[in-house]
Amino acid sequence: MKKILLLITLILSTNAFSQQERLSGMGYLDISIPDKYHTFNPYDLGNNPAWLVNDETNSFLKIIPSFSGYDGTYRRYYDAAGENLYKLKFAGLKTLKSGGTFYGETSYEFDFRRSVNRSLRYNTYGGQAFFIADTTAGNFRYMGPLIKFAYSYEPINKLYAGASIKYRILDGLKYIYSRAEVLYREIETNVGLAYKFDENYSLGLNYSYLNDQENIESKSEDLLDVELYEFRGEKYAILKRGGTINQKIKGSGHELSLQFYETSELLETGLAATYRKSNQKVLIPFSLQTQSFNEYEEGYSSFSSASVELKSRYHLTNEITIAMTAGYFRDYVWSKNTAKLKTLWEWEINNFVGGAGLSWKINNNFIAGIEYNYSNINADSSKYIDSRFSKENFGNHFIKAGAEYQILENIFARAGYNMGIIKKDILYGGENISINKITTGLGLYTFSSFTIDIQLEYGFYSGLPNTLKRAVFSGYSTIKLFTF
Amino acid sequence: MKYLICTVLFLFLFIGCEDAPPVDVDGTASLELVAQWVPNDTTGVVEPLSNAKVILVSEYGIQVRQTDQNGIFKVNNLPYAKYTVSVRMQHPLDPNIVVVGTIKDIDLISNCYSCDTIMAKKFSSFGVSINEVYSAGPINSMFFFYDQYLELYNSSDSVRYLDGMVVSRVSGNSSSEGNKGPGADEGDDGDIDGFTYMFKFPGNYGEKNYPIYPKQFLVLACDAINHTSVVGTSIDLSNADWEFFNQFSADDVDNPKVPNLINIRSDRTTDFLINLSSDIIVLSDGRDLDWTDGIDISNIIDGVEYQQTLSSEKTLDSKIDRGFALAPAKYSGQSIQRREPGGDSNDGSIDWEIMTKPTPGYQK
Repeated sequence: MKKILLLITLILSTNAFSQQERLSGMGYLDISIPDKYHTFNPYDLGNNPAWLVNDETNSFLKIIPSFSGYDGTYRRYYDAAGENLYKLKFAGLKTLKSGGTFYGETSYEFDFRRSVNRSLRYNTYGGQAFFIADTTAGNFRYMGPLIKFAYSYEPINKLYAGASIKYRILDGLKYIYSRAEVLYREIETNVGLAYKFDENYSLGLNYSYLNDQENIESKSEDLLDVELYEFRGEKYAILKRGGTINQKIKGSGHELSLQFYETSELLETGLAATYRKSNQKVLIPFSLQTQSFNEYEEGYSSFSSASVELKSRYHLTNEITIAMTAGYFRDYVWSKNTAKLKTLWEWEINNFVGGAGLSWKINNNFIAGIEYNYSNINADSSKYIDSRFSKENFGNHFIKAGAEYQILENIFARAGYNMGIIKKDILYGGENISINKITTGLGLYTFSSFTIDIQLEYGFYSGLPNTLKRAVFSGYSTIKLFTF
Repeated sequence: MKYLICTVLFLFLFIGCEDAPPVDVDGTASLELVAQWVPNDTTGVVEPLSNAKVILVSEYGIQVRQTDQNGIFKVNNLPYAKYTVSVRMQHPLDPNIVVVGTIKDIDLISNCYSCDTIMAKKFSSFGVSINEVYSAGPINSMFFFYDQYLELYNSSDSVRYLDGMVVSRVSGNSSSEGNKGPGADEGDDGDIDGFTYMFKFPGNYGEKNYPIYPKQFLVLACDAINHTSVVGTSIDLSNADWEFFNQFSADDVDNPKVPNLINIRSDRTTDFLINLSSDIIVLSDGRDLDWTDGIDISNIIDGVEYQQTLSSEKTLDSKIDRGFALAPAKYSGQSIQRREPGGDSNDGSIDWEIMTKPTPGYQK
């Protein structure tokens, strides 16, 4: 039986986020469903590693195979026609006798992107004005591991400290001309402190350092010279030609986050404020008279984001829970031509989000919930080099509904539905986009030594004109072992 | 509530630390040019160059636009760069004349409005010129590039004769050896240096046995055979008009049906092959054959330099050509061709364009 279940689990897979197994199957209900693995504490809401010791009190080992992807015509110029991402993740948590909690995670991903249009970058649309393109649309594959460790303990009574480090490396290859080879590396370190004033109030603060680097080398195997275009904006590009062309994109940044957490028998409230500042440089090697190599900064992009997010949940009765969320998210990005010291593109998005939710435990076997989110977006973009300017103010609506039913003892079936009405999609440029997504899930908790969660989802984006459509799909399973 | 106030204060503290972008922005330069010419030299009346082609060259590549009825060309929102602008038009009455005007190195900085007048001149194209160069080789993975050819064109309205003319590759006089580079006038003695291959039409200068008729294209093939039998993506040159043949070579291909240009340098034993992506080709009248001290510039009929990138160093003497053509990538199956048949304003950077496929014996 275990083998069959394991096989099913391996076949049905997806991108998994920690502790989201139950709620993702219920339409990603975020605030209204009480769930011991998804609270508003500094770890879940603010990614503060210091709170890990309180967030997880039982050791486990999780095996999470997953897949996700998309396909369709609703995409941007440099996007792939479709993508399939397969991932296998192992995550283990150990509560240590000497105190503290240790978390370790390793995963390996295989990312296949079908017919990527010209772009050679792993993250093409990061908000910067620089694009690196060849002349062909071709398949890309990326593969590589990720490892992450976190440790949290209580050095002084009520004071918690923690740290985490994540390292990810991906090796990419374009199958046709210009045969680009990509090496992408990402490091993130995170240290945090949290203090529990009393049983009800806690405060957390954490700092992250982020560093990433992408190396792109194009070298045609069939004797053709490689021609790459260094785009500055959408219209203007510098042609680079040679037997081999190298590019490097280096990024680094800092993030500081502050969290407040209040919990009582009936009320749970979390508040997180985050500020992130980072930059990205496009570097091109050139040779010197001494035959050594130096790097020339082709472009520079600055990113800063700030957010305040409040989430609160109140148990009105034993059966009914009401919840609310409010938030403000700001992103400000600009890019410059370093040599000429000219701003190429500057944009800012201010997003105010408000939402409310309700869940109702109809009986011991059945719980259902519904949430509504409204976001008001102010977007201001000045793409100077292309002479494209826009200023938008619009509202988007999002409704989530979900339910969980215990079909047999310790076996739960879940389902959810998401509907979004996006007046203007600032990421993809579409207008009047409607999103419909269904999610399903199954929780098998009949075994004493392990549990299994399975989740599948399918979503559909459509807009104007009617030819714009995109399907998104994903699935994952989590096998959680308690003894190992 | 106090937590919320603390949090917002925390955020504002850091938002104040944001980096600020440069004050100057790109894409705000404007250029206005008035193109004029003198149609009739005797009256000297200046008229606008109406509906003429405008070629804008910068580090961002080439843009082709048009002047209006009044000869005015105006463009806004250009990025900060150095521009070369050329205006060209076929003479409305005489198809043998091209009217060309050029302004080089206009430095358009941000928020700058630049205004200028281009006085175009008439270039009588009554000579023979190199009209197309196919050097890149076909798309292949076996280093095949033996289907190279040159194309000559007679843009005049009278018969010209090729007797004794010499087609040369100029790739010596290396700048790495402290010289000025291939095709430069080393020593400033009125000749260009660095000749590596010299292949000559039969006969001698002044004889009239090998005509090129008005508006006729002549294909000069490296090897006048059907190259598609070797590489499928190549071209059939078995019907070429002339073939380069090195009589000092033991293995050079010779199509007996195609007349030959023969090698006049006995120290060279290979066929007339040119660099795939950067080289200089020169057509001279054949009066000066002593290549050891350079060939007199006054004997040069036409010359073209092609380079791999726009930032490459130009070495061909500017009396022959003031610019160079941007060559296609190696093994791309592409050629370079003059924008108009025989259209020669002595500035290769604007006279030539890359063709997606070679056009031997015709203009596309």
